[in-house]
Amino acid sequence: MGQGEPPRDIGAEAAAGDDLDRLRRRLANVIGHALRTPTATVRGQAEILAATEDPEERARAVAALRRTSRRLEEMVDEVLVVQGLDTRLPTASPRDLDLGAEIAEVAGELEVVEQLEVVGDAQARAHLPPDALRWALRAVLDNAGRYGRGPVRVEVRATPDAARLRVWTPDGDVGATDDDVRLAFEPFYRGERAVTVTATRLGLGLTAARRVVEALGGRIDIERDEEQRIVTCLELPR
Amino acid sequence: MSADAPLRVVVVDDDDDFRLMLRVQLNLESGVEVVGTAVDGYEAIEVVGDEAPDAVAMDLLMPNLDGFAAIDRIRREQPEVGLVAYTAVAGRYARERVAAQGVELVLKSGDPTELVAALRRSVNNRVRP
Repeated sequence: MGQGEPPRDIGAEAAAGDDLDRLRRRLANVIGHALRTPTATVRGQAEILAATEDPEERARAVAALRRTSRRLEEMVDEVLVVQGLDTRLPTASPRDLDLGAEIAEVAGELEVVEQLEVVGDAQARAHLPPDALRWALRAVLDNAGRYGRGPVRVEVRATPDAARLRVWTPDGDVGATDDDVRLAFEPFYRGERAVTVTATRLGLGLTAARRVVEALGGRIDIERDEEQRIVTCLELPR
Repeated sequence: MSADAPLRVVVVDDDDDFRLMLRVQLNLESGVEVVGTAVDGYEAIEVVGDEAPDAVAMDLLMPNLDGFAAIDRIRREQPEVGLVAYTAVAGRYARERVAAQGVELVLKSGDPTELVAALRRSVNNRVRP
């Protein structure tokens, strides 16, 4: 260290290095899991299209290619949003939205949400960019529906300034660990349970949702309720 | 299995598109017939019990019952069935565990050539009743 340089905090640097190394390993592992299956699917479906004249098989291959390429696009979008590349942040102008209808529409697009139950001020409205709201809802509802069976329950409470949404995972998500709750918004965090439920995710859905919600001036957290059930809490400006 | 009979295979994978793709691809391979598919380890055990295939292409990370546990059960209950682990990522843990189970591991790909070769080897190496 030369004269005049500030003293280095060796411990802090080492800890930062450990964190970076851990993140790198997590990133490599998650990307491998999340991308190998869809990229193999794209190649395989292309081979099927080249090899068969059967119209049914070809139609199935095209549909699978569409789904898989959409999934890959979503992963790229998540990475861009999490990294703060503002080119991918939602861009629609705010407008008056019916929260219950938005929740129902997004849930209807998600295969993992088998049933939906909206309680409370389901007719509440909020003045928000629709694409940003749907992005956040999609991440939260997808996460809830993925880790339990039965209806996803959403409670809506509105005050003059904010809309508060509480989203319960069906059957309380009894398999979630304390680490799963604590690290849910960490980039590329995928608990053991998450990986076995679905390997083809980057672990960025909630991270990206938090970035979008905070850009709206809101908040998002995950906690356990008084019965130890997992609940995702969204607070959105109205 | 006679020399001319097709290799009867069960495909196990929780990803719908990948599982269906693999079924079509393997059926397009000469001398291979997919006789069943399964979405997790429990269903794999059931389908293998019903169909008595020559070999199984087994994903490892799946909900409900993973491929490691399903391999153990099938090995115990139907040792004559050939098994190949077919997975997206193979870290040291996965490699060591399937090696201890006596199962070959193949990384997922859009080209099934390597998998088909491994399935054939698994049949040649299987425990005969």
